[in-house]
Amino acid sequence: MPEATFTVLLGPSGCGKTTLLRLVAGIDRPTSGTIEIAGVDVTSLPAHRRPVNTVFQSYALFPHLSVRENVAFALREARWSRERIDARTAELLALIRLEDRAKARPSELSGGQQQRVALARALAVGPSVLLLDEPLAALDLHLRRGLAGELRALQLETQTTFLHVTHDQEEAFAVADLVAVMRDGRIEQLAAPEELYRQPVSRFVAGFVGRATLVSTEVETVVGKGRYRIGLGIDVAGPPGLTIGAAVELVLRPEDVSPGEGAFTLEGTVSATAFVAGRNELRVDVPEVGPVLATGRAARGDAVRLLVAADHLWLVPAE
Amino acid sequence: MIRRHPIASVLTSIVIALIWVPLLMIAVNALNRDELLISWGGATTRWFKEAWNDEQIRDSLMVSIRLAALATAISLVVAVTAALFWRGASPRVRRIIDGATIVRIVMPEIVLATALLLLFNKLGLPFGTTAVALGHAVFGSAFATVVIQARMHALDPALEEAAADLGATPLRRAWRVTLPLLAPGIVAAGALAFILSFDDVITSQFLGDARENTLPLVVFGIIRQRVTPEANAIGAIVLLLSAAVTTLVLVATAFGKRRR
Repeated sequence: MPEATFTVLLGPSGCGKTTLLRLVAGIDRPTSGTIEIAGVDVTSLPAHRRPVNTVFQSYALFPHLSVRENVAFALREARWSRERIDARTAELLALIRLEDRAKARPSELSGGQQQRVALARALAVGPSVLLLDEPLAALDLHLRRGLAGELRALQLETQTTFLHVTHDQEEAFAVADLVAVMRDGRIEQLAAPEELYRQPVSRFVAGFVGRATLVSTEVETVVGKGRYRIGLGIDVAGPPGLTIGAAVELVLRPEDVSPGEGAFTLEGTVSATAFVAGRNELRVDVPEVGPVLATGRAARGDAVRLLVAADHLWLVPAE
Repeated sequence: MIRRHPIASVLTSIVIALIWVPLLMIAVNALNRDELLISWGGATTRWFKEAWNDEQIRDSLMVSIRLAALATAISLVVAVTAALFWRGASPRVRRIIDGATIVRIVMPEIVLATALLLLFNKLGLPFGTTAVALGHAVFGSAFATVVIQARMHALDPALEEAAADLGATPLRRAWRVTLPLLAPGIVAAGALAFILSFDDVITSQFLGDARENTLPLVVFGIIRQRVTPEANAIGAIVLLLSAAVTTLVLVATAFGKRRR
Protein backbone atom coordinates (compact mmCIF):
# COMPACT_ATOMS: atom_id res chain seq x y z
CA MET A 1 0.00 0.00 0.00
CA PRO A 2 1.69 3.23 -1.11
CA GLU A 3 2.35 6.12 1.27
CA ALA A 4 -0.01 9.11 1.57
CA THR A 5 -2.76 7.42 -0.44
CA PHE A 6 -6.33 6.71 0.41
CA THR A 7 -6.84 2.97 0.18
CA VAL A 8 -10.18 1.30 0.76
CA LEU A 9 -10.70 -2.32 1.76
CA LEU A 10 -13.98 -3.30 0.16
CA GLY A 11 -15.79 -6.55 0.64
CA PRO A 12 -18.98 -8.22 1.82
CA SER A 13 -19.64 -8.60 5.55
CA GLY A 14 -17.54 -11.28 7.17
CA CYS A 15 -14.79 -11.30 4.54
CA GLY A 16 -12.11 -10.30 7.06
CA LYS A 17 -11.83 -6.56 6.44
CA THR A 18 -12.19 -5.58 10.07
CA THR A 19 -9.95 -8.42 11.19
CA LEU A 20 -7.22 -7.18 8.86
CA LEU A 21 -7.62 -3.67 10.26
CA ARG A 22 -7.38 -4.91 13.85
CA LEU A 23 -4.21 -6.80 12.96
CA VAL A 24 -2.64 -3.64 11.52
CA ALA A 25 -3.70 -1.66 14.61
CA GLY A 26 -2.19 -4.33 16.87
CA ILE A 27 -5.42 -4.98 18.78
CA ASP A 28 -5.43 -8.59 17.61
CA ARG A 29 -2.34 -10.74 16.99
CA PRO A 30 -1.77 -12.73 13.80
CA THR A 31 -1.23 -16.49 14.15
CA SER A 32 1.19 -16.33 11.24
CA GLY A 33 2.64 -13.81 8.80
CA THR A 34 4.11 -10.37 9.37
CA ILE A 35 2.90 -6.77 9.27
CA GLU A 36 5.20 -4.02 8.05
CA ILE A 37 4.66 -0.29 8.25
CA ALA A 38 7.04 1.88 6.19
CA GLY A 39 9.41 -1.08 5.86
CA VAL A 40 9.51 -1.76 9.61
CA ASP A 41 8.23 -5.08 10.92
CA VAL A 42 5.69 -4.19 13.62
CA THR A 43 4.23 -7.69 14.07
CA SER A 44 5.45 -8.04 17.65
CA LEU A 45 4.74 -4.43 18.70
CA PRO A 46 1.73 -3.94 21.00
CA ALA A 47 -1.00 -1.54 19.88
CA HIS A 48 0.17 1.37 22.02
CA ARG A 49 3.60 1.40 20.38
CA ARG A 50 2.49 1.33 16.73
CA PRO A 51 2.50 4.49 14.60
CA VAL A 52 -1.10 3.78 13.68
CA ASN A 53 -4.38 5.22 14.94
CA THR A 54 -7.92 3.99 14.41
CA VAL A 55 -11.37 5.46 13.93
CA PHE A 56 -13.58 2.74 15.38
CA GLN A 57 -16.91 1.77 13.91
CA SER A 58 -18.68 2.61 17.17
CA TYR A 59 -16.30 5.62 17.53
CA ALA A 60 -15.37 4.37 21.04
CA LEU A 61 -15.25 7.92 22.39
CA PHE A 62 -14.49 8.01 26.12
CA PRO A 63 -17.85 8.79 27.76
CA HIS A 64 -16.27 10.18 30.93
CA LEU A 65 -14.10 12.71 29.07
CA SER A 66 -15.08 15.92 27.28
CA VAL A 67 -14.63 16.42 23.55
CA ARG A 68 -11.40 18.35 24.20
CA GLU A 69 -10.04 15.64 26.52
CA ASN A 70 -10.93 12.95 23.99
CA VAL A 71 -9.04 14.78 21.25
CA ALA A 72 -6.07 15.41 23.57
CA PHE A 73 -5.92 11.78 24.78
CA ALA A 74 -3.12 10.56 22.51
CA LEU A 75 -1.18 13.82 22.95
CA ARG A 76 -1.08 13.33 26.70
CA GLU A 77 0.01 9.72 26.26
CA ALA A 78 2.77 10.94 23.94
CA ARG A 79 3.86 13.31 26.77
CA TRP A 80 3.54 16.51 24.82
CA SER A 81 4.00 19.74 26.76
CA ARG A 82 0.89 21.51 28.02
CA GLU A 83 1.23 24.42 25.57
CA ARG A 84 1.71 22.12 22.60
CA ILE A 85 -1.30 20.02 23.63
CA ASP A 86 -3.49 23.13 23.96
CA ALA A 87 -2.36 24.47 20.59
CA ARG A 88 -2.77 21.17 18.77
CA THR A 89 -6.17 20.50 20.36
CA ALA A 90 -7.43 23.94 19.35
CA GLU A 91 -6.18 23.34 15.81
CA LEU A 92 -7.95 19.96 15.60
CA LEU A 93 -11.19 21.30 17.04
CA ALA A 94 -11.12 24.05 14.42
CA LEU A 95 -10.48 21.44 11.74
CA ILE A 96 -13.63 19.54 12.71
CA ARG A 97 -15.55 22.79 13.44
CA LEU A 98 -16.45 21.82 16.99
CA GLU A 99 -14.63 24.59 18.93
CA ASP A 100 -17.87 25.58 20.65
CA ARG A 101 -18.57 22.01 21.83
CA ALA A 102 -15.12 21.45 23.37
CA LYS A 103 -16.51 20.99 26.88
CA ALA A 104 -19.43 18.75 25.87
CA ARG A 105 -19.53 15.03 26.64
CA PRO A 106 -19.65 12.69 23.62
CA SER A 107 -23.20 11.62 24.54
CA GLU A 108 -24.38 15.20 23.98
CA LEU A 109 -23.20 15.21 20.34
CA SER A 110 -24.96 14.05 17.18
CA GLY A 111 -23.69 10.99 15.28
CA GLY A 112 -21.91 13.12 12.68
CA GLN A 113 -20.24 15.24 15.36
CA GLN A 114 -19.11 12.13 17.26
CA GLN A 115 -17.63 10.79 14.06
CA ARG A 116 -15.63 13.99 13.59
CA VAL A 117 -14.37 13.86 17.18
CA ALA A 118 -13.23 10.26 16.63
CA LEU A 119 -11.42 11.40 13.49
CA ALA A 120 -9.69 14.32 15.21
CA ARG A 121 -8.70 12.12 18.15
CA ALA A 122 -7.11 9.57 15.83
CA LEU A 123 -5.29 12.20 13.76
CA ALA A 124 -3.96 14.12 16.77
CA VAL A 125 -0.38 12.84 16.97
CA GLY A 126 -0.01 12.54 13.19
CA PRO A 127 0.01 8.75 12.72
CA SER A 128 1.82 7.14 9.76
CA VAL A 129 -1.37 5.32 8.94
CA LEU A 130 -4.94 6.17 9.86
CA LEU A 131 -7.26 3.18 10.00
CA LEU A 132 -10.98 3.73 9.51
CA ASP A 133 -13.34 0.90 10.41
CA GLU A 134 -16.64 1.56 8.59
CA PRO A 135 -16.60 5.09 10.01
CA LEU A 136 -19.69 6.16 8.10
CA ALA A 137 -21.81 3.04 8.57
CA ALA A 138 -23.83 4.42 11.48
CA LEU A 139 -24.82 7.63 9.67
CA ASP A 140 -27.71 8.27 7.29
CA LEU A 141 -27.12 8.38 3.55
CA HIS A 142 -27.15 12.16 3.15
CA LEU A 143 -24.65 12.75 5.94
CA ARG A 144 -22.54 9.85 4.70
CA ARG A 145 -21.97 11.45 1.29
CA GLY A 146 -20.98 14.78 2.83
CA LEU A 147 -18.58 13.18 5.28
CA ALA A 148 -17.02 10.94 2.62
CA GLY A 149 -16.05 14.11 0.76
CA GLU A 150 -14.68 15.63 3.95
CA LEU A 151 -12.64 12.51 4.65
CA ARG A 152 -11.05 12.75 1.22
CA ALA A 153 -10.29 16.46 1.67
CA LEU A 154 -8.79 15.76 5.08
CA GLN A 155 -6.58 13.01 3.69
CA LEU A 156 -5.25 15.28 0.94
CA GLU A 157 -4.66 18.07 3.46
CA THR A 158 -2.84 15.95 6.04
CA GLN A 159 -1.04 13.77 3.47
CA THR A 160 -1.60 10.81 5.78
CA THR A 161 -2.01 7.26 4.56
CA PHE A 162 -5.65 6.29 5.08
CA LEU A 163 -6.78 2.68 5.21
CA HIS A 164 -10.55 2.63 5.17
CA VAL A 165 -12.80 -0.40 5.52
CA THR A 166 -16.30 -0.50 4.08
CA HIS A 167 -18.83 -2.75 2.41
CA ASP A 168 -20.33 0.21 0.56
CA GLN A 169 -18.76 0.49 -2.90
CA GLU A 170 -20.23 3.89 -3.60
CA GLU A 171 -18.46 5.18 -0.49
CA ALA A 172 -15.27 3.37 -1.51
CA PHE A 173 -15.23 4.82 -5.02
CA ALA A 174 -16.01 8.32 -3.70
CA VAL A 175 -12.85 8.56 -1.61
CA ALA A 176 -10.28 6.04 -2.78
CA ASP A 177 -7.05 6.26 -4.75
CA LEU A 178 -6.91 2.49 -4.59
CA VAL A 179 -9.53 -0.09 -3.74
CA ALA A 180 -8.72 -3.58 -2.47
CA VAL A 181 -11.59 -6.01 -2.98
CA MET A 182 -11.52 -8.66 -0.27
CA ARG A 183 -13.02 -12.09 -0.28
CA ASP A 184 -12.73 -14.77 2.39
CA GLY A 185 -9.80 -13.04 4.10
CA ARG A 186 -7.78 -12.49 0.91
CA ILE A 187 -7.34 -9.44 -1.25
CA GLU A 188 -8.73 -10.47 -4.62
CA GLN A 189 -7.71 -7.31 -6.48
CA LEU A 190 -5.99 -4.06 -5.58
CA ALA A 191 -6.47 -1.36 -8.21
CA ALA A 192 -7.72 2.13 -8.96
CA PRO A 193 -11.53 2.37 -9.02
CA GLU A 194 -11.82 2.61 -12.81
CA GLU A 195 -9.49 -0.31 -13.43
CA LEU A 196 -11.44 -2.36 -10.91
CA TYR A 197 -14.64 -1.58 -12.75
CA ARG A 198 -13.30 -2.02 -16.29
CA GLN A 199 -10.80 -4.82 -15.78
CA PRO A 200 -11.85 -7.01 -12.85
CA VAL A 201 -9.60 -10.04 -12.30
CA SER A 202 -12.37 -12.40 -11.32
CA ARG A 203 -16.04 -13.15 -11.56
CA PHE A 204 -16.36 -12.15 -7.89
CA VAL A 205 -14.87 -8.69 -8.41
CA ALA A 206 -16.91 -8.13 -11.58
CA GLY A 207 -20.11 -9.00 -9.74
CA PHE A 208 -19.29 -7.14 -6.54
CA VAL A 209 -18.19 -3.87 -8.11
CA GLY A 210 -20.95 -2.14 -10.03
CA ARG A 211 -23.76 -3.83 -11.92
CA ALA A 212 -22.96 -6.41 -14.53
CA THR A 213 -24.31 -9.28 -16.56
CA LEU A 214 -21.98 -12.24 -16.83
CA VAL A 215 -22.27 -14.37 -19.95
CA SER A 216 -20.60 -17.79 -19.94
CA THR A 217 -18.55 -18.69 -23.00
CA GLU A 218 -15.06 -19.98 -23.86
CA VAL A 219 -11.86 -18.83 -25.51
CA GLU A 220 -11.70 -19.95 -29.17
CA THR A 221 -8.41 -18.43 -30.22
CA VAL A 222 -5.84 -16.09 -28.81
CA VAL A 223 -5.77 -13.08 -31.14
CA GLY A 224 -3.01 -11.08 -29.51
CA LYS A 225 -1.58 -10.15 -26.16
CA GLY A 226 -4.61 -9.95 -23.88
CA ARG A 227 -7.06 -10.21 -26.80
CA TYR A 228 -9.18 -13.25 -27.44
CA ARG A 229 -11.84 -14.47 -29.89
CA ILE A 230 -14.65 -16.01 -27.89
CA GLY A 231 -17.51 -18.39 -28.56
CA LEU A 232 -19.94 -15.60 -29.39
CA GLY A 233 -17.81 -14.75 -32.42
CA ILE A 234 -16.26 -11.46 -31.31
CA ASP A 235 -12.81 -10.29 -30.27
CA VAL A 236 -12.57 -8.90 -26.73
CA ALA A 237 -9.94 -7.94 -24.14
CA GLY A 238 -9.14 -9.99 -21.09
CA PRO A 239 -6.37 -10.70 -18.63
CA PRO A 240 -3.19 -12.15 -20.20
CA GLY A 241 -2.58 -15.89 -19.95
CA LEU A 242 -5.97 -17.34 -20.89
CA THR A 243 -5.57 -20.43 -23.03
CA ILE A 244 -7.64 -21.83 -25.89
CA GLY A 245 -10.69 -23.63 -24.60
CA ALA A 246 -10.63 -21.89 -21.21
CA ALA A 247 -14.08 -21.36 -19.73
CA VAL A 248 -14.58 -17.61 -19.35
CA GLU A 249 -17.32 -15.13 -18.61
CA LEU A 250 -17.99 -11.98 -20.53
CA VAL A 251 -18.62 -8.93 -18.34
CA LEU A 252 -21.42 -6.76 -19.77
CA ARG A 253 -21.94 -3.42 -18.04
CA PRO A 254 -25.47 -2.00 -18.50
CA GLU A 255 -24.13 1.23 -20.06
CA ASP A 256 -22.33 -0.78 -22.80
CA VAL A 257 -25.52 -2.51 -23.90
CA SER A 258 -28.37 -0.56 -25.52
CA PRO A 259 -30.98 -1.02 -28.26
CA GLY A 260 -29.41 -0.64 -31.75
CA GLU A 261 -27.84 -2.35 -34.77
CA GLY A 262 -24.20 -3.30 -35.26
CA ALA A 263 -21.52 -5.98 -35.22
CA PHE A 264 -22.45 -7.78 -32.02
CA THR A 265 -26.12 -7.91 -31.08
CA LEU A 266 -28.34 -9.90 -28.77
CA GLU A 267 -32.08 -10.38 -29.20
CA GLY A 268 -34.58 -10.73 -26.44
CA THR A 269 -37.70 -9.57 -24.66
CA VAL A 270 -37.81 -6.80 -22.08
CA SER A 271 -38.89 -8.31 -18.75
CA ALA A 272 -38.48 -5.31 -16.47
CA THR A 273 -37.62 -1.62 -16.59
CA ALA A 274 -36.31 0.68 -13.90
CA PHE A 275 -34.93 4.17 -13.54
CA VAL A 276 -31.59 3.74 -11.77
CA ALA A 277 -28.85 6.30 -11.13
CA GLY A 278 -30.15 8.76 -13.71
CA ARG A 279 -30.78 6.36 -16.57
CA ASN A 280 -33.38 3.92 -17.83
CA GLU A 281 -32.28 0.41 -17.14
CA LEU A 282 -33.74 -2.60 -18.92
CA ARG A 283 -33.72 -6.21 -17.99
CA VAL A 284 -33.86 -8.21 -21.20
CA ASP A 285 -34.34 -11.96 -21.34
CA VAL A 286 -32.06 -13.22 -24.08
CA PRO A 287 -32.59 -16.89 -25.07
CA GLU A 288 -29.55 -19.10 -24.30
CA VAL A 289 -27.79 -16.27 -22.43
CA GLY A 290 -30.22 -15.34 -19.69
CA PRO A 291 -31.25 -11.98 -18.29
CA VAL A 292 -29.05 -9.10 -19.52
CA LEU A 293 -28.93 -5.59 -18.06
CA ALA A 294 -29.05 -2.80 -20.66
CA THR A 295 -29.59 0.95 -20.92
CA GLY A 296 -32.25 2.56 -23.08
CA ARG A 297 -35.94 3.22 -23.57
CA ALA A 298 -38.34 0.32 -24.14
CA ALA A 299 -41.53 -0.97 -22.62
CA ARG A 300 -42.06 -4.21 -20.77
CA GLY A 301 -42.78 -7.04 -23.21
CA ASP A 302 -41.07 -5.36 -26.19
CA ALA A 303 -38.86 -7.51 -28.40
CA VAL A 304 -35.55 -5.65 -28.76
CA ARG A 305 -32.24 -6.04 -30.53
CA LEU A 306 -29.34 -4.98 -28.29
CA LEU A 307 -26.06 -3.58 -29.56
CA VAL A 308 -23.06 -4.43 -27.42
CA ALA A 309 -20.19 -1.90 -27.49
CA ALA A 310 -17.41 -4.45 -27.94
CA ASP A 311 -14.51 -2.09 -27.17
CA HIS A 312 -15.43 -2.01 -23.45
CA LEU A 313 -15.97 -5.72 -23.00
CA TRP A 314 -13.77 -7.73 -20.68
CA LEU A 315 -13.31 -11.39 -19.86
CA VAL A 316 -12.90 -13.04 -16.49
CA PRO A 317 -12.05 -16.69 -15.86
CA ALA A 318 -15.12 -18.76 -15.02
CA GLU A 319 -15.23 -20.32 -11.57
CA MET B 1 -55.99 -10.11 34.50
CA ILE B 2 -54.58 -12.01 37.47
CA ARG B 3 -56.60 -11.41 40.64
CA ARG B 4 -54.56 -10.26 43.60
CA HIS B 5 -54.54 -12.93 46.26
CA PRO B 6 -55.81 -11.65 49.64
CA ILE B 7 -53.37 -13.82 51.63
CA ALA B 8 -50.43 -12.43 49.64
CA SER B 9 -51.39 -8.83 50.41
CA VAL B 10 -51.92 -9.56 54.09
CA LEU B 11 -48.60 -11.43 54.40
CA THR B 12 -46.74 -8.67 52.61
CA SER B 13 -48.29 -6.06 54.90
CA ILE B 14 -47.28 -8.05 57.97
CA VAL B 15 -43.70 -8.47 56.73
CA ILE B 16 -43.35 -4.77 55.96
CA ALA B 17 -44.80 -3.90 59.37
CA LEU B 18 -42.41 -6.31 61.11
CA ILE B 19 -39.49 -4.59 59.43
CA TRP B 20 -40.58 -1.02 59.88
CA VAL B 21 -42.31 -0.92 63.27
CA PRO B 22 -39.17 -1.73 65.32
CA LEU B 23 -37.19 0.79 63.28
CA LEU B 24 -39.85 3.41 63.90
CA MET B 25 -39.89 2.51 67.60
CA ILE B 26 -36.16 3.11 67.79
CA ALA B 27 -36.48 6.49 66.10
CA VAL B 28 -39.43 7.49 68.31
CA ASN B 29 -37.86 6.32 71.55
CA ALA B 30 -34.58 8.03 70.71
CA LEU B 31 -36.56 11.27 71.06
CA ASN B 32 -38.69 10.14 74.02
CA ARG B 33 -38.33 12.23 77.16
CA ASP B 34 -39.66 9.33 79.29
CA GLU B 35 -36.54 7.63 80.62
CA LEU B 36 -38.26 4.29 81.20
CA LEU B 37 -39.68 4.26 77.64
CA ILE B 38 -43.10 3.27 78.94
CA SER B 39 -45.05 6.16 77.45
CA TRP B 40 -44.45 9.17 75.28
CA GLY B 41 -43.15 11.94 77.50
CA GLY B 42 -42.52 14.59 74.88
CA ALA B 43 -39.57 15.15 72.52
CA THR B 44 -36.00 15.73 73.57
CA THR B 45 -32.52 15.53 72.08
CA ARG B 46 -31.07 14.71 75.47
CA TRP B 47 -30.25 11.05 74.62
CA PHE B 48 -28.25 12.00 71.58
CA LYS B 49 -26.21 14.37 73.74
CA GLU B 50 -25.75 11.73 76.41
CA ALA B 51 -24.71 9.12 73.88
CA TRP B 52 -22.22 11.55 72.38
CA ASN B 53 -20.86 12.48 75.78
CA ASP B 54 -20.45 8.84 76.76
CA GLU B 55 -16.73 8.22 76.26
CA GLN B 56 -17.15 4.47 75.80
CA ILE B 57 -19.65 4.98 72.97
CA ARG B 58 -17.61 7.69 71.28
CA ASP B 59 -14.42 5.63 71.41
CA SER B 60 -16.19 2.59 70.02
CA LEU B 61 -17.65 4.67 67.17
CA MET B 62 -14.13 5.77 66.19
CA VAL B 63 -12.91 2.16 66.42
CA SER B 64 -15.77 1.05 64.14
CA ILE B 65 -15.13 3.78 61.58
CA ARG B 66 -11.37 3.11 61.48
CA LEU B 67 -12.02 -0.59 61.19
CA ALA B 68 -14.64 -0.22 58.45
CA ALA B 69 -12.38 2.12 56.47
CA LEU B 70 -9.50 -0.36 56.62
CA ALA B 71 -11.76 -3.31 55.73
CA THR B 72 -13.23 -1.32 52.81
CA ALA B 73 -9.78 -0.44 51.46
CA ILE B 74 -8.63 -4.08 51.57
CA SER B 75 -11.94 -5.27 50.07
CA LEU B 76 -11.75 -2.83 47.15
CA VAL B 77 -8.15 -3.70 46.25
CA VAL B 78 -9.03 -7.40 46.27
CA ALA B 79 -12.34 -6.89 44.40
CA VAL B 80 -11.01 -4.64 41.63
CA THR B 81 -8.05 -6.94 41.05
CA ALA B 82 -10.26 -10.03 41.05
CA ALA B 83 -12.79 -8.46 38.67
CA LEU B 84 -10.10 -7.34 36.21
CA PHE B 85 -8.39 -10.73 36.38
CA TRP B 86 -11.75 -12.48 35.91
CA ARG B 87 -12.39 -10.59 32.69
CA GLY B 88 -9.16 -11.72 31.06
CA ALA B 89 -9.39 -15.30 32.33
CA SER B 90 -10.39 -18.47 30.51
CA PRO B 91 -13.87 -19.92 31.21
CA ARG B 92 -12.30 -22.56 33.48
CA VAL B 93 -10.41 -20.06 35.59
CA ARG B 94 -13.50 -17.84 35.68
CA ARG B 95 -15.51 -20.65 37.22
CA ILE B 96 -12.84 -21.11 39.87
CA ILE B 97 -12.87 -17.38 40.72
CA ASP B 98 -16.69 -17.34 40.80
CA GLY B 99 -16.69 -20.31 43.15
CA ALA B 100 -14.15 -18.66 45.45
CA THR B 101 -16.33 -15.53 45.55
CA ILE B 102 -19.62 -17.31 46.24
CA VAL B 103 -18.13 -19.44 49.00
CA ARG B 104 -17.15 -16.29 50.90
CA ILE B 105 -20.73 -15.00 50.62
CA VAL B 106 -22.62 -18.14 51.64
CA MET B 107 -20.25 -19.51 54.27
CA PRO B 108 -21.69 -19.11 57.82
CA GLU B 109 -19.77 -16.30 59.47
CA ILE B 110 -19.24 -18.29 62.63
CA VAL B 111 -17.28 -20.87 60.62
CA LEU B 112 -15.19 -18.18 58.97
CA ALA B 113 -14.52 -16.45 62.29
CA THR B 114 -13.47 -19.69 63.97
CA ALA B 115 -11.22 -20.64 61.09
CA LEU B 116 -9.54 -17.21 61.06
CA LEU B 117 -9.13 -17.34 64.84
CA LEU B 118 -7.24 -20.62 64.54
CA LEU B 119 -5.22 -19.37 61.57
CA PHE B 120 -4.21 -16.07 63.18
CA ASN B 121 -3.30 -17.92 66.37
CA LYS B 122 -1.05 -20.23 64.42
CA LEU B 123 0.54 -17.32 62.52
CA GLY B 124 1.00 -15.38 65.74
CA LEU B 125 -0.96 -12.40 64.37
CA PRO B 126 -2.16 -10.26 67.28
CA PHE B 127 -5.91 -9.80 67.72
CA GLY B 128 -7.19 -6.31 67.15
CA THR B 129 -8.25 -3.90 64.40
CA THR B 130 -5.99 -5.37 61.67
CA ALA B 131 -7.13 -8.93 62.33
CA VAL B 132 -10.81 -7.92 62.37
CA ALA B 133 -10.40 -5.83 59.19
CA LEU B 134 -8.85 -8.83 57.42
CA GLY B 135 -11.75 -10.96 58.62
CA HIS B 136 -14.33 -8.43 57.40
CA ALA B 137 -12.52 -8.12 54.07
CA VAL B 138 -12.94 -11.87 53.49
CA PHE B 139 -16.69 -11.45 52.90
CA GLY B 140 -16.65 -7.69 52.15
CA SER B 141 -14.39 -8.24 49.14
CA ALA B 142 -16.68 -11.01 47.86
CA PHE B 143 -19.73 -8.72 47.85
CA ALA B 144 -17.63 -5.94 46.33
CA THR B 145 -16.39 -8.27 43.57
CA VAL B 146 -19.96 -9.11 42.56
CA VAL B 147 -20.93 -5.42 42.40
CA ILE B 148 -17.86 -4.43 40.35
CA GLN B 149 -18.28 -7.37 37.98
CA ALA B 150 -21.85 -6.25 37.28
CA ARG B 151 -20.53 -2.81 36.34
CA MET B 152 -17.77 -4.35 34.21
CA HIS B 153 -20.25 -6.25 32.05
CA ALA B 154 -21.50 -2.90 30.78
CA LEU B 155 -17.98 -1.76 29.86
CA ASP B 156 -17.38 -1.63 26.10
CA PRO B 157 -14.02 -3.34 25.36
CA ALA B 158 -13.62 -1.03 22.35
CA LEU B 159 -12.92 1.84 24.77
CA GLU B 160 -9.83 0.14 26.13
CA GLU B 161 -8.79 -0.87 22.62
CA ALA B 162 -9.13 2.77 21.62
CA ALA B 163 -6.96 3.81 24.56
CA ALA B 164 -4.29 1.28 23.53
CA ASP B 165 -4.54 2.44 19.94
CA LEU B 166 -3.98 6.04 21.08
CA GLY B 167 -0.74 5.06 22.77
CA ALA B 168 -1.74 4.29 26.36
CA THR B 169 0.28 1.57 28.10
CA PRO B 170 -1.69 -1.08 30.03
CA LEU B 171 -1.21 0.82 33.31
CA ARG B 172 -2.20 4.17 31.81
CA ARG B 173 -5.21 2.46 30.22
CA ALA B 174 -6.41 1.24 33.61
CA TRP B 175 -5.83 4.66 35.18
CA ARG B 176 -7.38 6.84 32.49
CA VAL B 177 -10.16 4.62 31.11
CA THR B 178 -10.97 1.40 32.96
CA LEU B 179 -11.02 2.69 36.56
CA PRO B 180 -12.93 5.93 35.83
CA LEU B 181 -15.56 3.94 33.97
CA LEU B 182 -15.79 1.44 36.82
CA ALA B 183 -15.94 4.25 39.40
CA PRO B 184 -19.71 4.08 40.08
CA GLY B 185 -19.38 0.34 40.70
CA ILE B 186 -16.35 0.88 42.94
CA VAL B 187 -18.20 3.49 45.00
CA ALA B 188 -21.19 1.17 45.43
CA ALA B 189 -18.96 -1.78 46.31
CA GLY B 190 -17.01 0.34 48.82
CA ALA B 191 -20.20 1.50 50.54
CA LEU B 192 -21.40 -2.08 50.80
CA ALA B 193 -18.11 -3.29 52.26
CA PHE B 194 -18.15 -0.39 54.74
CA ILE B 195 -21.66 -1.20 56.00
CA LEU B 196 -20.90 -4.92 56.23
CA SER B 197 -17.89 -4.20 58.42
CA PHE B 198 -19.54 -1.44 60.43
CA ASP B 199 -22.44 -3.54 61.70
CA ASP B 200 -20.60 -6.83 62.12
CA VAL B 201 -20.68 -8.55 65.51
CA ILE B 202 -19.43 -12.12 65.15
CA THR B 203 -16.06 -11.57 63.47
CA SER B 204 -15.42 -8.44 65.56
CA GLN B 205 -16.08 -10.45 68.72
CA PHE B 206 -13.87 -13.37 67.68
CA LEU B 207 -10.86 -11.50 66.36
CA GLY B 208 -11.08 -8.19 68.25
CA ASP B 209 -9.00 -6.85 71.06
CA ALA B 210 -11.19 -6.69 74.23
CA ARG B 211 -9.91 -3.18 74.96
CA GLU B 212 -11.01 -1.85 71.58
CA ASN B 213 -14.70 -2.69 71.25
CA THR B 214 -16.65 -1.71 68.16
CA LEU B 215 -19.92 0.20 68.35
CA PRO B 216 -22.17 -2.86 67.76
CA LEU B 217 -20.37 -4.74 70.55
CA VAL B 218 -20.83 -1.83 72.97
CA VAL B 219 -24.51 -1.47 72.06
CA PHE B 220 -24.92 -5.19 72.48
CA GLY B 221 -23.37 -4.90 75.95
CA ILE B 222 -25.72 -2.05 76.90
CA ILE B 223 -28.97 -3.62 75.77
CA ARG B 224 -28.19 -6.91 77.44
CA GLN B 225 -28.86 -5.17 80.75
CA ARG B 226 -31.66 -2.85 79.72
CA VAL B 227 -32.82 -1.02 76.59
CA THR B 228 -31.76 2.51 77.39
CA PRO B 229 -32.71 5.69 75.56
CA GLU B 230 -29.05 6.12 74.57
CA ALA B 231 -29.12 2.76 72.80
CA ASN B 232 -32.09 4.01 70.82
CA ALA B 233 -30.26 7.22 69.97
CA ILE B 234 -27.26 5.22 68.68
CA GLY B 235 -29.64 3.01 66.72
CA ALA B 236 -31.24 6.04 65.13
CA ILE B 237 -27.85 7.48 64.14
CA VAL B 238 -26.67 4.20 62.63
CA LEU B 239 -29.98 3.94 60.78
CA LEU B 240 -29.52 7.40 59.28
CA LEU B 241 -25.91 6.61 58.39
CA SER B 242 -26.94 3.40 56.57
CA ALA B 243 -29.71 5.25 54.74
CA ALA B 244 -27.21 7.91 53.67
CA VAL B 245 -24.75 5.31 52.36
CA THR B 246 -27.52 3.43 50.53
CA THR B 247 -28.67 6.68 48.91
CA LEU B 248 -25.09 7.40 47.87
CA VAL B 249 -24.86 3.96 46.26
CA LEU B 250 -28.13 4.39 44.40
CA VAL B 251 -27.13 7.86 43.19
CA ALA B 252 -23.69 6.60 42.12
CA THR B 253 -25.15 3.72 40.11
CA ALA B 254 -27.87 5.86 38.53
CA PHE B 255 -25.27 8.48 37.63
CA GLY B 256 -23.12 5.81 36.03
CA LYS B 257 -26.05 4.52 33.99
CA ARG B 258 -27.04 7.94 32.75
CA ARG B 259 -23.54 8.70 31.57
CA ARG B 260 -23.29 5.58 29.44
